[in-house]
Amino acid sequence: MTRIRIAITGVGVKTPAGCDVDTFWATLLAGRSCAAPIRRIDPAALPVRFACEVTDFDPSVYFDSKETRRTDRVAQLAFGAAADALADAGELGADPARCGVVAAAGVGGLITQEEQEYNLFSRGPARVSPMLVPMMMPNAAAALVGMKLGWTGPNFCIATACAGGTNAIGEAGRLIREGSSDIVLAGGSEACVTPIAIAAFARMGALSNRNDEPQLASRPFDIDRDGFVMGEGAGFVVLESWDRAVARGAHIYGELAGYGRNSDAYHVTAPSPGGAGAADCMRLALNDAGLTPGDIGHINAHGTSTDLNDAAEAEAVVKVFGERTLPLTSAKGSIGHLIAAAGAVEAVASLLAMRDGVIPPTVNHERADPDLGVDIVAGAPRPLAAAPVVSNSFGFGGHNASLVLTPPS
Amino acid sequence: MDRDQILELLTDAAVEVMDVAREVVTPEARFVEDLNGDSLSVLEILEILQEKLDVDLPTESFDGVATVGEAADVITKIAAERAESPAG
Repeated sequence: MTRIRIAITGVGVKTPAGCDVDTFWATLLAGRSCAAPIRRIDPAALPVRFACEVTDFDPSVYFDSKETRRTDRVAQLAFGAAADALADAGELGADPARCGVVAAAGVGGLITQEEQEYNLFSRGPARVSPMLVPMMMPNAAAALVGMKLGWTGPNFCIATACAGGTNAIGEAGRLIREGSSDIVLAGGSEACVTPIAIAAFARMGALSNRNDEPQLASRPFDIDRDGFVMGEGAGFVVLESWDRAVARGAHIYGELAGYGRNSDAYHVTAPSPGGAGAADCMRLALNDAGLTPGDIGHINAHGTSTDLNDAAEAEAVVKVFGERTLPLTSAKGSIGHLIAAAGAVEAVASLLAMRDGVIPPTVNHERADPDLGVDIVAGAPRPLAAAPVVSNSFGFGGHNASLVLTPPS
Repeated sequence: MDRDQILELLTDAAVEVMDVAREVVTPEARFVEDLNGDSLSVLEILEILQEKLDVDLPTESFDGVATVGEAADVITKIAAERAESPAG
């Protein structure tokens, strides 16, 4: 049986680097940090007082006042990105029953949850909003996208922490390949620049402490990295079969050629020793694509800027591809860590890199960590002949996910 | 606070939540059938009234309530009980 090829025909983002794809991409290529003192809440009492926030998202573009009131920011960002991706994909001509949604969520509607927990503890259970459950549930974003579009096909949420966005796109490809759907909107969203999330990640030692110089805080694979910078946002892509995309004359950004996912089964937060799980995951994705390590042009790394993640990912890359054989970039130097949205937004960046033949620089990567053995694109964009990209995401819980995206041809 | 004042607050809330014209929010208007509401709209309105009146409005007290006027009756009663309560 001929293998069904998967085309990506629409992209949409809501990010700290911009709420449209062109602004987002220009910001990545410019190598600009989006970290700044937190605006949405007063961060004075928090140990970490900066983040990468989405500052120019206007819900009224996508929702009436009733919808806005009944949805958490995490679902609003998700639908905004999904709607943009859909508009970008053009006229689909699809049966709504054959259209699906796969949306990743890390913590769900945490902003709403925290507000209502405050009500519970300060004013009693009668003051908890009746809207809390539908606003905080992690599947709220997937449900909202499906409802707004009237899409009645498969619709579910993926919760694999920071690997979610990548898993969502990979699993969406499977839905098309197995014949469950003709069109799938897949991606992830996150909006947890909240007191409890900042406090909790800071208490783990996962966040950078550079309160005095936020713009220098996220520095993937740099020797002075000291943790990730909390981000928020959403990314979605439209997937369909290659034949369908060609038949309707769609613009094709690239092919979802390979997908790997596995588990470290090792530790809830630390990566497996030597990046073994991540290495296996990348090999799975390469095998799924029918490609060899030598076929890959660059890696869009998970690259969180934490000591352990970057070291493990670098070790995994060296295991699979050899030492300094291909360039890596991490968008997190610019936009911070978008948790469940990260993989989806980074997949969009990977597609744009193939389109334009250029790899964006890793912001703040100034001094390479000599222990890592990887070639990091830094300082300026690096030109690259159109070639397949591996986009990695690794989540707390030991969830690993890798995509192989190839140029349209 | 008397029933008329509570009706006024209910009308404000219904206009906001259901996005309907003020003149259709009569005491006889039914939240769902006449005011474009759904099962969550009434809960949202009660939430707004709770804040405005600073009084707990338990959802179960509104079982069987269909119209704006009936809701005003229940809220007026709860607010009056609360005012009489020494702990209130």
